[in-house]
Amino acid sequence: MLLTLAWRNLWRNKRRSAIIIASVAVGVIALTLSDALSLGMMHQMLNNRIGAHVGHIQIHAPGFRANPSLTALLTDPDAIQTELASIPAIRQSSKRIVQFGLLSSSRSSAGVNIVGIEPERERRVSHIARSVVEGHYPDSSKGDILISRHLARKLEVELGDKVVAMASARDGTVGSEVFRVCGLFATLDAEFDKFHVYASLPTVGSMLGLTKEASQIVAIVDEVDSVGAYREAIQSQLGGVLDVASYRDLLPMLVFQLDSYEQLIWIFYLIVGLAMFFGIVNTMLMAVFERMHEFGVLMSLGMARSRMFALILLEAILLGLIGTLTGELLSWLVSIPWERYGLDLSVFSEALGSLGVGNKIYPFIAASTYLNSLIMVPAFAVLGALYPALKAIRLRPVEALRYV
Amino acid sequence: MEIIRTVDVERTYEDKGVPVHAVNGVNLIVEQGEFSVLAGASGSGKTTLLNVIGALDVPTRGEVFLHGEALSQKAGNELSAIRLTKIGFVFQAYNLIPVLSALENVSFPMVLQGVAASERRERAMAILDELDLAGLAHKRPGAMSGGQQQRVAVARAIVTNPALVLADEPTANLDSVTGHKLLDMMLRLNEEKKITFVFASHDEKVIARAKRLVTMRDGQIINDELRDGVFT
Ligand SMILES: Nc1ncnc2c1ncn2[C@@H]1O[C@H](COP(=O)(O)OP(=O)(O)O)[C@@H](O)[C@H]1O
Ligand SMILES: [Mg+2]
Repeated sequence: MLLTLAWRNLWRNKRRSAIIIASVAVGVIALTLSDALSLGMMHQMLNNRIGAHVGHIQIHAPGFRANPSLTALLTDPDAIQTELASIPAIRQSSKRIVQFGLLSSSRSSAGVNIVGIEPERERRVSHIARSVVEGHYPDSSKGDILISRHLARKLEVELGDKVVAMASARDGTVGSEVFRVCGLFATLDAEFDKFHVYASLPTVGSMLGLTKEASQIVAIVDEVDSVGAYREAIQSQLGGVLDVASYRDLLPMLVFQLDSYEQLIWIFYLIVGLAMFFGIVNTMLMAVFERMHEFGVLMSLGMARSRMFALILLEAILLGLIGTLTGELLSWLVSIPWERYGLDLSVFSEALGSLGVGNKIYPFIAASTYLNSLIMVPAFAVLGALYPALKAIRLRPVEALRYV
Repeated sequence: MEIIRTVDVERTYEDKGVPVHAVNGVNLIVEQGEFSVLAGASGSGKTTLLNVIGALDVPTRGEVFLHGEALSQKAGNELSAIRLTKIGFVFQAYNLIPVLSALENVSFPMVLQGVAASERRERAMAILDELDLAGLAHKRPGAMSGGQQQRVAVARAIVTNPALVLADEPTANLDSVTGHKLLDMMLRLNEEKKITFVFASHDEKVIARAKRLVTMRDGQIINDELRDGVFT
């Protein structure tokens, strides 16, 4: 009955209720969509990095990550891969040799990470193969090298041109190899592109004086959200000596950004909440004073103050809830095409490119976003109604009845 | 049985620094079954006295006893409970809750009492039936005439079987025929159900039916006469 009464009271002044509901809804939409955009952008940055190179799990010899060189190598990577193949959660693994070196054309040269890959396996742990925009992906064993379009421009080379790679080999001498540019790639991350070149693992291995060793093994798992648990499981299965890292360990800045964003969003809520708070104080004050006489009647009927207080707060909660649900529904409707077709932000493409996002963002609304505003907004509405409600119940019945 | 006893009740307002003695030393006893009218010119203190008796207002001095208990000793929520269970109010302006139907308005005090929904409905319907208001059950106050609203207000006032119904100028907004009808109804409730009524009114129709007429002037009782037998 209290709920019925509160509900019907809301619709007595339809215009006023509609205005407050609309303003709550607008606040919620702003909150939800900006959250969706930010989350979409950050997840995309993360996924691009994971997809381009990092993968879900990487296995190194201890010390490699601190000092990536040939002094810390996986001595028997094939045995590790066999072991990994027996773990059902791991979808695919691939080994790599990574060594910093110099790539020179006849015109220019650049410092790069020379990555030796198993071309067929690599296809299934990263999307570098799909990032080839010109020419073709390197075959095994031959002297093919895949470089980015950026780097090709810098070195002033074209498809089929010769380049020379030089890097310190395992025995301390300088290893070098002549490659032919077989293809050009472009990922969404311009910075990444400038520093990575790909050739087949045996070629890079022999250039650096390696036999069967590798620098790293990259693996893709089934459930990304459980990557932490997988990491532990793999770590113990491999005997605990090797360095097993998840993308969370490998991309600490991005992960930190995502995590701290989730805390920062509360400031957003606070700002929108405050704006709403004042709107609701105002509306509820008007609504309460307008009905002061009626509160006198309720008191004369013997309604306890606590119940009248609850009635007023209930009206505010309802206003907040309706506004929030309306806002969330509209946000959801807006987000459907966004989530499917993405949001084309090519206007800002340069800035986004350097962030590693790409021209299109796929915003998504997390369940927690819906839930947060569903709790926060009505809570602010209640805060906004506290003062008017206190005003109403402080009066003696006669004083309230005297209002007309 | 004594329902109300006021002892030297005063209610003083401050009006721009000047004290106004709206009620100025009233000693009044109301017995079970009365049908009494507080009469007197406008401004004589009728409403103020009625509000003090009904625990809507607190006297500046003196004491009001309801069933022998001093109201000044009661906390706010106890006074709410007293209004809820022992007193029914009928106002000049009907004061039904506009968003509730007649049936819901009459049920409302029972909601506050925690009566179960089915029993609420039954009892509210029974009272509306008894007062010939069943046809209005699902109408909201806005769709009723003044007389209809006031009769629903009476139904709401008596639905909890209060010890006392206080009615402040209940006929003032009604035309004379409707006013008579309302008074007939209240008198019948008084005679058949022994419900105690105290009116504040300067309406001749009301005064003419009083079984006890208490006349006030300047916040004091200047005459108190029993007129029992007038209507038998
Ligand atoms: N809230 C108030 N503030 C100041 N004076 C009041 C107030 N209420 C009533 N009075 C004064 O008290 C006196 C009695 O008023 P009231 O009880 O309403 O009389 P009645 O109901 O007999 O017309 C009047 O002089 C009136 O002006
Ligand atoms: Mg009066």
